[in-house]
Amino acid sequence: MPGLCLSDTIDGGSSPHGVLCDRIPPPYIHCRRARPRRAPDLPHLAWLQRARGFCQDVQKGICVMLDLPSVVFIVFAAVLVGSALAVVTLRNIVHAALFLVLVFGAAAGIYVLLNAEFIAIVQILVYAGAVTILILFAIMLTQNPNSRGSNPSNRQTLIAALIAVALCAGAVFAFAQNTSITTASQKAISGPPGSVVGIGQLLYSPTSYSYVLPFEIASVVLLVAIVGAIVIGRED
Amino acid sequence: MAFTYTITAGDWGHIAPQLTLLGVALLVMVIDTMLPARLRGGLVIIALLGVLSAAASALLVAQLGGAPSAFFGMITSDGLAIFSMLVILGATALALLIAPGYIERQGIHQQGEYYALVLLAATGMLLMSTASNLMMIFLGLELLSLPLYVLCAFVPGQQIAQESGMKYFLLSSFASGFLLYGMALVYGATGATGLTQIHAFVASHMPLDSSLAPLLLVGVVLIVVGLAFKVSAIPFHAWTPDVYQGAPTPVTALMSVGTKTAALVALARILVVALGPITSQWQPLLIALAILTMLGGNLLAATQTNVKRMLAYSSIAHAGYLLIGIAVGTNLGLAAMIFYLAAYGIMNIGAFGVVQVIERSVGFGTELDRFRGLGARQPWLAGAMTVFLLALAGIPGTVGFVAKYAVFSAAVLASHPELTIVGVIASMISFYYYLRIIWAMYFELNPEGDPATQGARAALGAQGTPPLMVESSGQSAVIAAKSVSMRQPIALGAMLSLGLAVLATIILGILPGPLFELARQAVGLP
Repeated sequence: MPGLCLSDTIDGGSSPHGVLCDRIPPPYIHCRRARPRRAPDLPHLAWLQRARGFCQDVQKGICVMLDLPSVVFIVFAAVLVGSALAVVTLRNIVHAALFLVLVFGAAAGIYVLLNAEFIAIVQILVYAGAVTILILFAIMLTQNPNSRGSNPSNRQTLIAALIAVALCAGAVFAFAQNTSITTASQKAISGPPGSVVGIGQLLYSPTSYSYVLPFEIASVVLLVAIVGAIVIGRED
Repeated sequence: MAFTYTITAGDWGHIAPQLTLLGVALLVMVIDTMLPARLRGGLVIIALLGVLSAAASALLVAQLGGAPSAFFGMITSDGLAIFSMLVILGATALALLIAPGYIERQGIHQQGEYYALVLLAATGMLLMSTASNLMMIFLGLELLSLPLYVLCAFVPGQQIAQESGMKYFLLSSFASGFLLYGMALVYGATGATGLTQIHAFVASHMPLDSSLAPLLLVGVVLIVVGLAFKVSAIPFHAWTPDVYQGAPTPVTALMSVGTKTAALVALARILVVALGPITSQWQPLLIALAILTMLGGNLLAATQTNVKRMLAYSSIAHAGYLLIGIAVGTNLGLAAMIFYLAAYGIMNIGAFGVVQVIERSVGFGTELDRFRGLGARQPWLAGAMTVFLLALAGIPGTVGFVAKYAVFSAAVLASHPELTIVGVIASMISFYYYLRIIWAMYFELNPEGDPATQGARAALGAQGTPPLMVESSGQSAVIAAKSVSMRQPIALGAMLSLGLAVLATIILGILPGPLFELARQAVGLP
């Protein structure tokens, strides 16, 4: 979860937000006020200080500072939204499916930014790899991929666009109103590391069976899916 | 994070009912491959024994007591869990009993997979109703949904069955998305997926400040939407009649009771138990859902001519009565709800059990016309249907009345009389369509839709018609007369299931005390 930090809360880790921000690099920083302040002597926050150094040039108002994670985030986000739009607007369904790979890839990039390497790899393996292949196979088996206008659409595009814009505006408004809205979830993810080791220990470690039951149930769900596929796919 | 939790034998003991069912499901699949085709009907006995032993182990877990939760707070075995498990297992047993005859008539050859999937769906229902963690609730929901998608489309070569399975799959996946998103937001707001931890977090952050409220409340709304779909509450009910009609009737019976029980218990755990401190926030939503569902379900049911669809709408209406139990937000409401679930399970599976005897091919031949004159043709079957319909309508002397009384009085005691008033009005509407079936069975002996009379009438009026017509209509009259004199055969299992359901409906209607006392104890009331 990207941290959305007010600059005047980042003062060397004395406030909870400061604590969070040094763990999770936020994609961008709001600087409400630019006032001279003793620079915190935290070496790993150097990039943050640089950002504030730029920020102090601004007399009043809000400036959004761009550091490397923010730039990367914006690039991935732009690719993601652009290809997602291509998926729903392109007339050829094979093109749409291929743009879906870009969507999944960009999402994986954002997961890496959020320190969730495991999810990122799984995203690429399962979604960009397996799911896309599955979709392409389904397209190949069911219709002529060379036909133009094979991506089904309907007359509700305008309504759908309106609802999407309204939802987006609502979400942006809600998050802008509550800058501390992500506090609790940041607390939650600051616990176990989102790395492969952490997840592996949570699931399989002989001394930490806290998530063993959901894990086992998930395998039963897979069993049901296999049996169901055989039943549905029978010939009689 | 310190990894200190170690699994014990007690943990596995807590999920003994689920493990039993799962094991029997696998056993059924394995034995199915070894049996010759003519003996495969015996699989239902193994499945039934599995359900009974799961119920026995549930009672054993209740007897042994011990820690109320297992697997790091993933699963609980409190009174609510035990009671709802017994309701689900009872419904599964009744639905299994009516299955063999139906399977034979519909030409289903894959009996092993059928029983295995039914047992796996029941396992999912048990897991969902005993889950005390959002993650387990979701996994339980998926485990109960996946077999049901397949079972809905189980009758081969029938378009209506394919439609049923596909519709359920697509809409249900959509609803699962809502549910999961809601859970993610609640996790984001509270930092926990365990219901106990969520309760502790919300209780310590009262009143909700503006940084917490939007995330938590949007999450709660999305969870309610996702589960209301499974409960088939209006306005998330649109899938219900089509899916119920196209599914094999024993599966419909199981779905209508088991899925509702699991989803309602999970909803009650999330709202009443975990989010009890913010009852005033979610209560208006639940009250609106309950009122809409009660009125809408009954009004729509009154317009149906297909009895299977009518029962589908009636199950929507009953979801409305059941939601009252959660909407009032008290423990008494919960006790009334689980009592209602037990009563509803008995009478609704009974009603679907009669419908499956009448039904010809899946989804067809259950029109109201087919029930005309049933009282004269098969008095016992018609009598059983009458008992179930009167119970569903809530006539005194049946368990349906006691259940409605419990729910409505819980609403009055929690000072929500508006729910009681709407509920009573909705019940009055329901009398119309329930009594119409009874009327058709006993007082419409000479129906126009009956093939026998049509044929006879055609033969009578044949003097003025060309000879060819006379011949053909005369033949059809003979065939039709044969088909009417041949009564619908009732398989032994179905007879047993219907008999048990009738007995339970009447006995619990006259002596509801012990069961209601159990329901009260289950939610911790003295």
